[in-house]
Amino acid sequence: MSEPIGKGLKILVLDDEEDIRRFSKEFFQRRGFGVTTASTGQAAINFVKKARFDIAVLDIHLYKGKKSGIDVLKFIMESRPDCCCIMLTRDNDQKIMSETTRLGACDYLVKPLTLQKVDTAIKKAVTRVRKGDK
Amino acid sequence: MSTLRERIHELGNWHNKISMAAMVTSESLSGKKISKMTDKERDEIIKKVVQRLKKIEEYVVHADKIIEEAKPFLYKQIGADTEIPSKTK
Repeated sequence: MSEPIGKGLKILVLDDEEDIRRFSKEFFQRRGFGVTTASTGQAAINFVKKARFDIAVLDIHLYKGKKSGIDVLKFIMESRPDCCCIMLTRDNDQKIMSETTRLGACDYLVKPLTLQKVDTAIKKAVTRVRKGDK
Repeated sequence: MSTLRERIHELGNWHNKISMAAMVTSESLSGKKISKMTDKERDEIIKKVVQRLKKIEEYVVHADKIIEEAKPFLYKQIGADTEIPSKTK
């Protein structure tokens, strides 16, 4: 049996919806990742200050707290630029896409998420992280 | 009173939850042979799947409620059958 794709890797998931955090945790744990979830941008920043993450999955539009996923992306790129950030949004907005890419995001996913979309993005991110290409 | 943007955003949130719940539910069953499971394993997995299906049902109800609430507002702005925007004063 092959090793799980996320073995030895740490992932941070930022989403203000509790159910989404729970589903995400289950999804990534099944793939062997060490998973940390945060419900606000500030909580995510606090986790990033304390620990190193290989991948961060950040919801851009958060209703809880003052910081958005983009604020967290900026913080990660300044403090841990080797972390591969996948941005989540509901808007297929070119301006936001270009902005997050300019800030250093690895990828951009438009909700609703499907198994194929997430799997493809995660495989891409893991390949980049393992190659040190991020 | 929430804005139309907020309502649409919330609708998207319910749809995302539906999609994610379906995703993890199908994964919890994939690659497993029910016939090779112990009774306990089978009971646990069935319980989990039923819980998730109930969640999906709950999310659909919430999403539907938002659509129903938005309908009168939207139809006032755009003709439901004509798709022509109403004239503004």
